[in-house]
Amino acid sequence: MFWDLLKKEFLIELRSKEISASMLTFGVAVILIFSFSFSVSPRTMNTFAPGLFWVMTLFIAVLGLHRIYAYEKEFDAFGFLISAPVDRGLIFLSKWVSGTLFLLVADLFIAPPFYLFLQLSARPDPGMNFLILLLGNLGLMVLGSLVSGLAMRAKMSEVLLPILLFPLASPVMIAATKATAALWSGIPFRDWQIWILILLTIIISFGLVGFLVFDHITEE
Amino acid sequence: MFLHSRRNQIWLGLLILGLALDLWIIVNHTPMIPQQHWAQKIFYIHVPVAWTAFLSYFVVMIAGIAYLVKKDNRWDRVGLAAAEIGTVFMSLVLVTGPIWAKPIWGKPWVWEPRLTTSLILFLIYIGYFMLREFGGHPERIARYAAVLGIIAFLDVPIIFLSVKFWAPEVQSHPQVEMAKQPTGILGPFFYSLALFTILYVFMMLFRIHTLKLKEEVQSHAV
Amino acid sequence: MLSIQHLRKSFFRRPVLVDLTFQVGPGEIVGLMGKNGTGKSTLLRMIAGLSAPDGGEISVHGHRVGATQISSRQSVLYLGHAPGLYPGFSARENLTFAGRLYHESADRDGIREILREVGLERQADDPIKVYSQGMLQRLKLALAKLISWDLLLFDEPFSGLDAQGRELTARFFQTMQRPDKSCLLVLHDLNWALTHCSRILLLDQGKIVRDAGCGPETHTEWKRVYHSLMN
Repeated sequence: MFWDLLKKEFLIELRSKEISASMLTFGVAVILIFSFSFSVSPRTMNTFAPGLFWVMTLFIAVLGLHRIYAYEKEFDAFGFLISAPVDRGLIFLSKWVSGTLFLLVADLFIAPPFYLFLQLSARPDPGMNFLILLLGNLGLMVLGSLVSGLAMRAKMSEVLLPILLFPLASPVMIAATKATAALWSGIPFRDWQIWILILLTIIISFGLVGFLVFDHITEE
Repeated sequence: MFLHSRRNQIWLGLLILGLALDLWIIVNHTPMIPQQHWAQKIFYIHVPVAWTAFLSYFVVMIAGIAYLVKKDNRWDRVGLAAAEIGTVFMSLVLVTGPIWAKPIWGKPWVWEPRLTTSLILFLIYIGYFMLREFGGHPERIARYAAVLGIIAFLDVPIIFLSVKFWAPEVQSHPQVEMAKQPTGILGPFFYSLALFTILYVFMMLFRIHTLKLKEEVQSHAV
Repeated sequence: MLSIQHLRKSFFRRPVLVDLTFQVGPGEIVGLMGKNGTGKSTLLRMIAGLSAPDGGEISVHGHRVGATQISSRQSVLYLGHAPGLYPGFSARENLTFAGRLYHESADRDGIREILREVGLERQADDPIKVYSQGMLQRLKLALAKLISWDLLLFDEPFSGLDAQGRELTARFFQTMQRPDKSCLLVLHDLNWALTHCSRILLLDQGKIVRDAGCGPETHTEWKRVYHSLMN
């Protein structure tokens, strides 16, 4: 059942490409703004860069989250999903996993222009970099999927989502930024492994909580 | 109506007297800490208020779980009252914190772990009230607020840990471990702590009572 | 089959359904009627598990309906006002996905046959966002044919249909008169209800004002009660 739900998410996105297109375009626009707003020396920019990257990721995550739930509302497909014999926790999982993957793909595509326009010089280990990216995106999306479920039916849902998500996601932002910065500065892993642990804690705790409480926020 | 009862009037009177006594003790009967002088005195308000704020947010989480399990409106009222009072106390934390910090650290705001966690929690709860306002009909809002209250408090230890490791060079504010405090501080401190906790309970009961009345009025007005 | 006990529901503290109690047995086709806004759609949505009641209990085949209860939803199919599907998908894709949700093992041919029966074979691969209201209504009929349900909750099955569509739907309900299947339909046409339903529930201001069979001898009485309520 989970795979059917996940396949549906991907098929819809493959068809419309709304999520990826908006995430990518917006991401590049944000990089542009960063380039103009922070006219600093390359060395300073390298210090800033991890933070800027995750801020941009947070922004495009909000965009993606909004779309991921919006298409369920257009013809009330969500209603049909809820009335079907489907464990609603699986709906949460499918939104979380698909959202993370969309975000990951967007991040991977945006990384080269990000690197180029901000004229960065760091040469991090790509495997570790990908791991931080994956964990950070999972962390943002687990909270995002939960909060989107809450904001989905509310008035001003586009505004409510970031207002709720941003403070809740601060530990993800801190952990992801610190880990990225440490990796890019060449600091040995054991000195910054705490951030990976924090990300894992967030992913596991909120993944579990989301799976359990999602039943209660799906009803009208 | 809550204040019409003799018992509650006595409690209110005792609380007001207790607070006045607290102030008097803080001014006259607490030791003057070297280097901090009068600024340190705010510790007797700041810490109890912070404790009460976090206690209140914990109550929101418990009320949330209870509401999801029992679906009883009473738990929704408890949760809302706790959220409101908790946020009021949290604003006091965010006000008294800088007042204490300015003379000690030279700057009113430093990203100290406890203060930062307080700020983040305060912002989460601004979102909570927005959700209550815009989330839809009251019957749905109760469920959603319950879930948010659970998520919010679960986030607290994670937020605190992240901020602590984020800026380790920022020491915790000048309140040292309780056991290492000079004598003369513990007594007034615990008195203040007990007083604010009782005040909190009183405020909770009052607020829950008003919320119940409000709900009754709304159901009959239709 | 379906048991409703003391059901209560309010929106913005206004009671919409007040102490509703009734049963639907196997083989019954029950018409739900009443003025607009009397909570008929809300009732259907609660039985489907989309909306949570404020009080009371709903059970299907003895299984309680609730947020975490999946078993009660297996045998219930809810078709509401909205299509309930994905605008970017075609009819075929939507039916395939819907079938998956209900653990139906329908294959390509089976689905094509169903689409042919409801007259959507030519547009089977167009995204349903281009469908007209009538076509979307036929798609709902296709869903009802695809999914094996014991209890069908259909909100206004005839809305937006042309004459051919109405005939299709009427024939569908005739084939669905089986001892193991029950239907709860929100209807606005009393005459159709009287001739095709086994029972009618008349709702007003959140309460059942009349719950009775529709045998020929009851028709005059039903017409009288219904028209006096509507005016």
